Amino acid sequence: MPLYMRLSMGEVEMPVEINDRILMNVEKPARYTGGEVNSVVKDHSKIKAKFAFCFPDVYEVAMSHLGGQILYSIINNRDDSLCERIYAPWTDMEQAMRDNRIPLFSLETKTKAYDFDCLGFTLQYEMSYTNIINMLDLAGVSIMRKDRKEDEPLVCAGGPCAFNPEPLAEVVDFFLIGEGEEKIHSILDAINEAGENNMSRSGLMEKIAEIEGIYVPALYDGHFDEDGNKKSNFNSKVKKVLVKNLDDAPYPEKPIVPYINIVHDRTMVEVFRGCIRGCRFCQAGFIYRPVREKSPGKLEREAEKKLDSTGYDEISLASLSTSDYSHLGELTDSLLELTEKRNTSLSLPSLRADNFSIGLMEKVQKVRKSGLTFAPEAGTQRLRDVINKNVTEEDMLKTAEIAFKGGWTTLKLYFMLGLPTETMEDVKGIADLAWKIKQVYRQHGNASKKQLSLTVSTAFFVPKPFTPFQWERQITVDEMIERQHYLNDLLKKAKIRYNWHDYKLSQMEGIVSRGDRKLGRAIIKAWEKGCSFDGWSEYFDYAKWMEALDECNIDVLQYTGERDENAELPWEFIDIGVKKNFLLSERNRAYKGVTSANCREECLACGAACFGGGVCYEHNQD
Amino acid sequence: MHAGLPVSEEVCAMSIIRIKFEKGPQVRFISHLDMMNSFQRAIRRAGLEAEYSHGFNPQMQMVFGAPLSLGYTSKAEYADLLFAQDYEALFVETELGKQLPPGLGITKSGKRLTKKNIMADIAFAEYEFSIKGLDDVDAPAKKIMSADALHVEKTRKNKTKVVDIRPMIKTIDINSKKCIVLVKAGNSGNLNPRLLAMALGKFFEREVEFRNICRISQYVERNGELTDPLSESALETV
Repeated sequence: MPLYMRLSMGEVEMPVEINDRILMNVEKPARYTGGEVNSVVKDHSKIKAKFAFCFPDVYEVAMSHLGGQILYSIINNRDDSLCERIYAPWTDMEQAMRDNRIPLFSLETKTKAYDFDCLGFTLQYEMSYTNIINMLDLAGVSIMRKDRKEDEPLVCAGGPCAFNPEPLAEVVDFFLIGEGEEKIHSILDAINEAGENNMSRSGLMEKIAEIEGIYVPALYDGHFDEDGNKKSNFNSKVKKVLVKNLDDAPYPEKPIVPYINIVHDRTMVEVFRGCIRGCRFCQAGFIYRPVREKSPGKLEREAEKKLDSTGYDEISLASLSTSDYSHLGELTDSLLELTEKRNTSLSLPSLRADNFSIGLMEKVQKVRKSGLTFAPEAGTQRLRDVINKNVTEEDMLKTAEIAFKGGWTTLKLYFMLGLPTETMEDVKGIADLAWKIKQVYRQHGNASKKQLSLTVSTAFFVPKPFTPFQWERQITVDEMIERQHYLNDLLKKAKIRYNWHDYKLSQMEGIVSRGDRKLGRAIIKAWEKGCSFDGWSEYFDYAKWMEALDECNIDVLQYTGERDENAELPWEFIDIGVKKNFLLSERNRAYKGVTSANCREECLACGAACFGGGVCYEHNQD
Repeated sequence: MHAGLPVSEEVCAMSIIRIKFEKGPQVRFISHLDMMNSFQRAIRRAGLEAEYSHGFNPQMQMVFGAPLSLGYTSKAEYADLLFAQDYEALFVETELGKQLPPGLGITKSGKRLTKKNIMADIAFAEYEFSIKGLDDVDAPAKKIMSADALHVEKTRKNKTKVVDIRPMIKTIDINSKKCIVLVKAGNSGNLNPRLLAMALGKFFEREVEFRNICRISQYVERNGELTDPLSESALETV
């Protein structure tokens, strides 16, 4: 059970002391000791704005996040500001901290989280929200923003889940909607100014509220009743901010190099933001519009600098769909030249299942052939057309054939269950497609007689804000079980390995993704009952969540059910550039089974051109 | 990362540099494997041309001495680094030293000419620590050295067996402030101070705890004598 820990805080910043006995008894103590190569330690007495980048998950996940490294370097490149990292302690360390009354601290200088000017949380995943509450509690910071006193740090949040900020609107003082690179400077400037002029907390909040892309929930409190129910629609909109030209965007020249293995243990270069495809279930495909690319020359220099400064033996391209980078051939050639010289390797995730990709992978993985992954998402062409996943069975079988002939023996297939309009016929289609791929291997598989390792994985569809499917209902837990069992039986008969995502967790994701202020109360209630690390199956406690929802008078079906197209959705006051009408027309096309062109084939006037950059203007320059 | 290298890999290397380095309190919770990884990254950052294995999955070639337990510090860690260039020891010491994270610092280096790598060569290690639970009045060192056997339960992979660690202790010196022990280390038998603390607890029938454990030296054996792994005889003779 979480204890409510309020520590008496002195005037002077005192670093936290953690004795060896504690560290000797927790798993991977290097998660808490800092001191990594390229981490930045500044003298707190000489700095005005002290920002803590907070990631609500364990070190290995947090350190794999590129966005955090970008913000860290931008802030630390300023002489008047500092940024330190604070990650969620794993459960063993949390217990030790509570037992020994050690407050949440930063990795760099072991400074108390409480002593920073601003705690900035990144919202990457809805099921990490209880960890945010838990971290605030460990820090001794008031959980509800209305309770925060003058000397408490400001709590802000950004990242993809901030596009629906309402579930955390009573916890977070302000949200940054969109890409943080530019506006972080305005925030730091405001903190500096507040420090110089002895401004009050509310004075500083007023300054921050003026910054573009900032949502200050307190300004909208009047629209809600005491229980968090919305009484009236917001009368203004918050427009997301973005970096117009990615070539001008700052990137970390010296990323932090962890001591321990992390999830993505390699350095990364971000080749582009956004995605031209417009798959109708994919939130990232809409909130990051328009697509903006980095030029290959710029990326090559960035890659070289990062390899030099980190000593990593692997570099990876980061984007939503690597195959869609316009200069991919040119870029991989120059990067391969760079990596081969250094005995390092290049990895290309998120490739499309096509011939060109296989050719590229042959080139990149000269000797070792790691597994291939296809994500057709749906089992039949009909359903793939509904979701606008423009990949055909013929393409996939052909690509598999080339890959098998080339010596690949491991293939993973990713699908979603419960997509809008899905029938049992579509579920069966998953097993059929997997079976056909197995036959392709039988015909064309390699001579070494090695068995094909084929795995089918399914996740359940979660309707996400700002997608054409934001109004769709999520199938019920009973339906989830039915479809999963049906597929399991089919795949068992076909002797194909099957992994699936937990249905209870999928339902909770569905509830929180489209949550509102009222739901936020249930998140806090769930935490009070002991929920944290919900994304980790060993800690996810469905029963406690259900209790919390029940006690907060939340009707699950109201949150997972179909939404009214004419009602204002909780996140609609945010303007992502893409218009509601466009999302509606995409929804209608989905029902007709009509696909839509990608951004490079034809502009569908989604609205993202209002930002004045990216793919929307590529043709004009030709 | 290999514990011991086949000699054939070493033949290709143009130079083998043995370094002695410190592991300070800042990095005492970095595991042996993670520390090796840090050295590999530091070598790449330094732009030194390392020797790689010649298999399907080329690995940078380096051999470390006896692993140090998590939480211990050290003034005397050793590693043999293999290079594809004929480097001078001092050059490697300087260039690599610039790239090591705080807490890891090279204090000495030399060119290894023999085929015997540090892992296979280490025979003894000396540890210094403060001790809680024993004092001079007990004359513990004397009692231990005159004991026939010093039994302790050792648990490994869920199997517990009783071992006699007395033969692994060469010298032991205990006073009220600190304790220094010289014990067997390396492939031919290794005594962890933590196990020694348990054995002493059992022997004296009370709670004995070692704190701030620091490895202060490691030795190889030449002609029955203990010698520094960077001495001429260690680097040039077997």
